[in-house]
Formats: sequence, structure tokens, C-alpha cells
Amino acid sequence: MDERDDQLRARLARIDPMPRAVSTDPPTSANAQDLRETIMQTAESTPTHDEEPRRPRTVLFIAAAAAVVVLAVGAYAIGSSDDTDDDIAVDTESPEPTELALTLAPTDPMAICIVVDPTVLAPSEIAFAGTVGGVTDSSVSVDVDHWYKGGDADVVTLSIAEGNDVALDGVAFESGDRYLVSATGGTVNSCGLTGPASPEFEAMYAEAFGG
Amino acid sequence: MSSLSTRDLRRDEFEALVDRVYEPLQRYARRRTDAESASDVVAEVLLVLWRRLDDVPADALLPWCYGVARRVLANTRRGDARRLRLVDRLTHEAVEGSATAVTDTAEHDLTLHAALQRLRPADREVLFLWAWEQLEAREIAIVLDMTPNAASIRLHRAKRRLRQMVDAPDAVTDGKTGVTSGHTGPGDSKET
Repeated sequence: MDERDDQLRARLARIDPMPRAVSTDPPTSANAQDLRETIMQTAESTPTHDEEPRRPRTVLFIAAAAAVVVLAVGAYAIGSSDDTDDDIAVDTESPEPTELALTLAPTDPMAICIVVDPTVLAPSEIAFAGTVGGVTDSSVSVDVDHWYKGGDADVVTLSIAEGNDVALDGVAFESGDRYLVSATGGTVNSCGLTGPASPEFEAMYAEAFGG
Repeated sequence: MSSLSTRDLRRDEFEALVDRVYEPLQRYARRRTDAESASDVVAEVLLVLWRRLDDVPADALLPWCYGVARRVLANTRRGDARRLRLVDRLTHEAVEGSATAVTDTAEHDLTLHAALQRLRPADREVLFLWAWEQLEAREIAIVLDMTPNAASIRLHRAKRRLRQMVDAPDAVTDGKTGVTSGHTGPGDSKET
């Protein structure tokens, strides 16, 4: 019986779709290390009050229903210039650290927020995770800790034009908090596609963009 | 001399576990879904591993991880019923006689493929855990979240059913043994 077992097992093993001959990504790869780092930062970003003292909270409600200005700074240029009435300056010089600027989308009162699904997220051109650093009346600066897609800048600035003061679908960017941001055509996706990082939201981003 | 913080210890432990499971998890996932989904599955499992570091059984790390991967895959499939499972696709292609990059590395054992097709998915599942992941019954129990006894019985019955299907005379074989067409592996040529 044991010999028959061994033969059957061997016969099944011969149709293995992933035999030894097919290689896998080693745990030492850049991919693997990136994944590890992202994961370990994920849990650390969950507020636990006995850890580092939180930075002072500044709430910025980003104005929407506003024309916005896109500035691309640094090695990475967004490229798209067809979405707004305002002038768009594209500057491809590269100061250090590398930066990227995106605009916050005007809200459309007629738009219905879709339930976020990875298939909806996936077509985004840009997706990253980061912690909000500086906040002003007209911009939010995000220190990126993980790029899912579309760039490698260290800092991304989210801007609105002066004089606008409508909320971005209720996303309150708070200094010290971590967010997942996606964008297309130089404009940040709103309506559930951008927001505070949570394990479920991160899993969705990971599924949409492949980690 | 400074002592390591709890967080540093967790990080070290996590990294050590990832070293052990990263490649086996890829194999598990890529046996059962397409490459792109497979890397999503692996990422999801590692995320769970990090968050539930304290729950992981030291003597059954891989089976535990496979169990998580299995649930992630099941959740993915609920949203994508059209996706053929890799084995089903392989079986289909082997029977049709078409070659793909994957079937080039897998032997064209038409008898076995046809027999597997006739089994229930639950039977196939234990057989593949046994033969591809090389797990024993008590480890399969952890993957499937059942008692070792239940896993043992299920595996025993699945083997028996597979043998019956393989030995049963049908159109694919011309006798009790072997394969009537195809080649036995890359580089081999066998007369049909």
C-alpha cells in the first residue's frame, strides 16, 4: 500500500504546475523587501497611544468644486494637462528630495460614490501610501512610504487653487496620519478611492495594484 | 547595551518567518491561480502573518500560511466566478492536446488528468496538498481547519477514488497502465 501511495504521489507530482524547475521570487529580492517594509509599516501606522507622541493635529478640508493647478516638480512629471482651466506648469528639474504635485479633484454634486472595488482602483495611473507632513490653507504635503504605481517621488503635494474651501468628499487630511492616495491625469481621485489608511483599504490597494 | 524593543523583536521574527514561507507561498498560489493574482495572495498572507504573529503555530508555519492563502483565494474567487482554476485549465488543455507554457513543464498524463476531472473539488484539493505541497495528513488538517483524523480519512478516500478513476477502463487509456498519447516530459519524445 505504501509503495502504491508513493507511486500515486509521484504521478501527481509530475503534473505539478509549479515544479522545482520553475523559479520563484527569492525572499532577498527587492520586491520581497519592499513588501515586508510596507507590511511592517502598515501595522505601525495604527495609532497606539504608548508609541511615539503624535504630531499636532491640523485639519485641512480641501476645497473642491474648484479649478486646480498642477505643478510637477522634480524628476517625475505627471504629464497630463487637459483637465483644468488653469495654467499648468511642468518643471522637470530635480531638487532633492524628489517631489510630485497633484491636484485635488473638484467634487461633482451629481456623482455617486461607488463602493470601492479593486477593479475600480486599478486603472489609476498613480497610487501611493504616505503620511501627511505639512498642511497649509492650500496644500497638503505627503511623505510617501510606498509607491504602488506610477512614480517614485519622496514627497507629494496635494494642492488646490486659492480661495476654494469645499471638502474633498469628507477626507480630512491630518498632519501625522497615513493615507492611501490614487490619482489619474494629475488629479487625485476622490470619493472613496483616496482616504485614510486602514488594513482593509490597504488590502484593496494591494489587490488593485499588486502590492 | 540597549535591549531590543518589542517592535524590533516582532520585526525580526516576521522577517525570519517571511524567509521561510515566501517562496513556498508563491508556489502554492501559482499552482492555483494566475501569476498576477498569486502575488496578491502572497502579499495578503504576509500581511495577515504580520498582524497575527502571536497566533502562528511554530511547528506548522507553512500549513498555517497555506490555510490563510486558501481563504484569500476563496474570497477572490467569489468575485470572479469566470476564472477557471489552473488545474481545470491544465486538464482541459491536456485533454484537448494543446500545449501551453505551463503544460510544457507538466507531463501530459491524460489518464490522470481525466481521472482528476471526475473527482470532487474537495478530493482534488487534498490530493494536491499531499502531492504538490508534500503535506502529511496532520498538516493538511491545519490547512483545511479540520481534525487530523478527518483529514486522514479524507485523504485516504481521495487516494482510493483517484486510483479507481485511473484504473477504470475508459476512452483515454488502452489498458490498465499508462498514457496513450503525448510525451512524458520536456525533451522526451514518445511514440503515440
